[in-house]
Amino acid sequence: MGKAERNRARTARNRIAAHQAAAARAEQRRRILIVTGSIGLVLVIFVALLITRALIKPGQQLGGGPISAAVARQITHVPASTLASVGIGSLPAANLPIKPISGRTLTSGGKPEMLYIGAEYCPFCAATRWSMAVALSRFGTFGPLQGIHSSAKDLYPNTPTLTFYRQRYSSPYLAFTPVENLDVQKKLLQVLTKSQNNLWVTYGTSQGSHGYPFVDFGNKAAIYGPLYSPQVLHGLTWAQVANKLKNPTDPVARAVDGEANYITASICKMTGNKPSSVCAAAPITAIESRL
Amino acid sequence: MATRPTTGKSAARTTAAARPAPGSVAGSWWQSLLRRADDALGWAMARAGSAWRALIRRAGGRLSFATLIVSVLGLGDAAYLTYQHFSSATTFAGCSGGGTVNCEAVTTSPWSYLFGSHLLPVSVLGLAFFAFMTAVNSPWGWRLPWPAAHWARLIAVIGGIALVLYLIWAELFRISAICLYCTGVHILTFILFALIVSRAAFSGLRPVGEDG
Repeated sequence: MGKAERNRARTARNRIAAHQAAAARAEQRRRILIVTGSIGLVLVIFVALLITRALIKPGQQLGGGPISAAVARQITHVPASTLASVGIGSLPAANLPIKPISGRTLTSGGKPEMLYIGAEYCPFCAATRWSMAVALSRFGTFGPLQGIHSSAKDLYPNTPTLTFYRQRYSSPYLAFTPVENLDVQKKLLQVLTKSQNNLWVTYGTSQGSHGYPFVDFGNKAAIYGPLYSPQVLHGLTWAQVANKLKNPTDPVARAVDGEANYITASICKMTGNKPSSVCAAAPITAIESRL
Repeated sequence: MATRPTTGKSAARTTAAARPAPGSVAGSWWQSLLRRADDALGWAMARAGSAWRALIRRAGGRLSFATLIVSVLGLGDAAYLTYQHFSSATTFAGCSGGGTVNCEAVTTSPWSYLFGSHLLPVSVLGLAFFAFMTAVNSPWGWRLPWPAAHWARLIAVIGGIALVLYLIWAELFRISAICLYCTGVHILTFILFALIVSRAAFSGLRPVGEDG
């Protein structure tokens, strides 16, 4: 083999080696691109979500107004068969923020007293009020109902609900004392009496603090937190919520009516199971025995 | 039992003030004690170091070992969230309710079920995901000879990160609250995603030991 031939062979080998090195570098670049591209894509989506959330202004506060008679009737006349069918609905059978208590019997005007402490801005109170309205309707009669929405700046913004501020209610079995402590803007609306505040602190304290909603059933039982998530009411109107209460398979009915049965059982505990037409009904006796 | 040869370093570690007078009985006892302590420490560190290297070697390298560690951490976090879901607990250690950071608001929301279906809790899905990841990222998992297992790992982690992004969207735009334990799961899933995709890109979907 001559010198020129050897040089040609070496050049060819060098060219092949250079090609292989270039191909290896290209392959390495491709792999790096796959890794950085896929990790980068996830990060870009995440950052885009954060930026979008930061740019969204809190939703406009939805207002309130009187509930029409037809809608009010749907709230206050949920069929007993529906309530029986729902039972505890989507609520768990244990570990709810509801407990039996044993203080000096709470009365007002010679009747056992049901004290409610809540706030109009509070989304969890918004959820609880629907169930209270359904349950209390079985023991008495409401005056005209007023609709509101919870705060647009809090959790579960603009949850549709009722307000119990200056709500009229009459019953031969119990006295209902609602206190809406703060309004939708978190400004003071109704001042608690000292004894109401004491009950709230005594029976409504959980993990070192007491919050809304709090319901004292004549010092026989107390609700000291939300029993279901307000999310189920998201985006609905008062009329839509009211309309769903009669359908035992609807998620709204399973939450609202389920809590209403818990509240009914607590009221029965307070009234000494009066009236029997309500307190001896199918799910109530079972729930009451668990309280 | 092998012992490390004694060096003069141990004696040098004591300060002059603390050291008893040389030649005294107390001084020789003190130096002997220090030498023994130094030997024991050196032996323990050497054993720990070789055990650590053996562990990483058995796991198939640092990257594979890291996926196992992340999977086990995720399994613990997901197990806690699943326990909280089924116990209907209202308190989360270090994640109290009331503000934007509110574990209870997140874990009791309809979004705590897959696509709000009320059929499959997301925490159970997370637990199943990390249990699978712990299995396939174990030393035995990385050595499995079937390509399907390595594809399944990659597909699962891509599905996992997609679900994480969906859940972050739900927290930010639907629930308006953040759950710290869920965020922990999200971060661990992201790390797992980065590790597994990197390994797949650079070493292919092959068992460890075949990629040189």
